[in-house]
Amino acid sequence: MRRLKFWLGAGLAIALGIYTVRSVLAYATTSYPNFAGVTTAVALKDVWVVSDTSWNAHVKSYTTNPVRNIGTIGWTWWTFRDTCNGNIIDNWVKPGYARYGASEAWDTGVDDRDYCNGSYRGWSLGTHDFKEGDSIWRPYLSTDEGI
Amino acid sequence: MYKRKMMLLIEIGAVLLLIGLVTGNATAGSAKSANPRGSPANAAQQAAVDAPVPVSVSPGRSEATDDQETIRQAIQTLVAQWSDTVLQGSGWLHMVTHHMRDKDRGSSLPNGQAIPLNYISETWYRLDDQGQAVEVIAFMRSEDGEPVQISTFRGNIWRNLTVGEKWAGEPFMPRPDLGFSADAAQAHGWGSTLSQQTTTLAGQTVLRFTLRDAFGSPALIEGYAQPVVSAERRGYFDPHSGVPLLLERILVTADGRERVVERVDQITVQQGVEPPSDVLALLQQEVTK
Repeated sequence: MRRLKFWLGAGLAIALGIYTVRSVLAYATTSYPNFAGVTTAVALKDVWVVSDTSWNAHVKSYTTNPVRNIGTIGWTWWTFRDTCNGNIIDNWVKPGYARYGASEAWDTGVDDRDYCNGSYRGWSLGTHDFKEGDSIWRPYLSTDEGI
Repeated sequence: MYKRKMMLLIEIGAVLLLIGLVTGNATAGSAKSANPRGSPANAAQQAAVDAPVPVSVSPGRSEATDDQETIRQAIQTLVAQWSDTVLQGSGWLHMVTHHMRDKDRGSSLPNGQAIPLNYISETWYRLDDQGQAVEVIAFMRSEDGEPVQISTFRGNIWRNLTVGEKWAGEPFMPRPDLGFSADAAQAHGWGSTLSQQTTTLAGQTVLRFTLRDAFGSPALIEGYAQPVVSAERRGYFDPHSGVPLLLERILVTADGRERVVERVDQITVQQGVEPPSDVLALLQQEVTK
């Protein structure tokens, strides 16, 4: 009986831990350590539901370890869209954006949630832009979530 | 010995929870909150992001909560009555819905073709014995019936044949009520309120359920010129069968205008009917990207 209780408890604790960790991994990042020999460049995209009315798409380019102002930071293009069973319902195309001598740039888009009878997903996609001296890094990154 | 094991167990659980919470806070801090030191590319939009906050709780909270729970359960019971039948057993499920939208500005596909505000969605789902869609053929058509987009799902891969893109997916449960009951189930967490009313629709007595989302401050939503101050989702259901008859989305803008921004009608469902051979053949089409 004690053994049963132990394994039930173990299962519950591990399941809860896995759920808690999984539930926050809703964004995508990619990074370039030692970018231009001075910092770590990070590209981030995220999607989340705000309420039954709307959802948000997010883009962010930043430096870390250490935070450092670099020549150019931003993105060359950014789009957010929602798809219903693979078909694009709205496709919002945003212009490129750059900051000079800064350590981060970000933006968030707000879209309404349409009716869909199947797989309804929100997307944030585009190419980030990092420049410092002769070093250039332009990673493409996308993420999508059920919304 | 047993106590020691239990303590170890509790410690493992606590560490996992702590990791989860720390990661969660890090995520929220970097991506989901307005950073006053940051540099949003569009400051006006950033203000909109933080706008939809939960509605304040009234003094009659417990009574209201009870009502909310009663309505939520009524929606789940009514919708499940019908959708469980629709999703019962394996085979093909054919759904057609007519969407009419009202926006100030529309958008285009990556190939430049405009996405119509009004469209007909025709979807063929092949369900497994759990009611999960394992193959899908989805058409977005203009109101004239001309295909605008075609997408498929096969072998856990989505393919948009029109724009030539593909991505990984997983089998899923179709939502014959277009997600209305799922949204109602989450209404409390979002701070939205539910209400229920008996009304008539085209001469028929129906049940109308409403989810009301009141924003803390006006929010700009893409495609609309005016900021939005509140919104509603309305579902009209047959009170006996649970069939959804009409679904609406309403936005109330800062200028006081109430706009029906989406209306879905002609919700038709067929079970056990095979797609025509030319439709079925689309499942074999590949995309390059």
